[in-house]
Amino acid sequence: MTKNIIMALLVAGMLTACNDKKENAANNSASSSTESASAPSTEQLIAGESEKTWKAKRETNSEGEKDKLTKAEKEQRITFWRNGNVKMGDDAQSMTGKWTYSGQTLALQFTGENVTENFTVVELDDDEMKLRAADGSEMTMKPE
Amino acid sequence: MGLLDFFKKGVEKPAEQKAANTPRQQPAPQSSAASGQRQQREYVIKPGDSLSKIAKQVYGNAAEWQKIYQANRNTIKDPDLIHPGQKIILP
Repeated sequence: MTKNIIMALLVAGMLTACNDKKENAANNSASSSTESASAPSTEQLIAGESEKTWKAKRETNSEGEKDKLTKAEKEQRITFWRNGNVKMGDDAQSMTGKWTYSGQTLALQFTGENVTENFTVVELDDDEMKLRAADGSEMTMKPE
Repeated sequence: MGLLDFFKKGVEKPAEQKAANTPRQQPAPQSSAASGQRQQREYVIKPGDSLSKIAKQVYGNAAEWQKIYQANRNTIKDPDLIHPGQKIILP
């Protein structure tokens, strides 16, 4: 008799554990679908939640050959703000302007210029942004 | 090349904006000072350049930076703020 009671308790315990697992799985799938629904926008990848600073990682010239970044060039930074402002420079100088993104093109208009500089966004994720200039040269940047 | 140079090499399109006052590629300044004896040259600003550094390099005297500034008043608003890739005239 005691044996039967113990067996019944064990079976009940196992069933409860199974239900918990199902609930957890359901919760997990719900949360992952929420994550994919709120995947960062391109603007968010470029400028973060409010701002994001990038620095040069590597570059290639118009022939696709790798160019070596000098120490001074490695110090240069570009910061994108979500409100559309941009600032680029190093310790000695800086320039500001506006940026926009549309159709795989990142457009920058620096203050005092009446043209925009447009770059093709070749690759973009949270940790890397690769841009192509008019002459085919490419700049890969990483967040600071 | 670096970021400062790279971001001057985009496909240039006219900005959708109110008429800006500064032409991008300006002709040589018309000022009489600039049209003096010495022949004018065009110079492209490099990262780390300053007007005094350029003056020292070109004229051998950093104090002559004002001459460069005066010849480029239509493009240089602030002599302490020049941009790599920017073209200036050396009087």
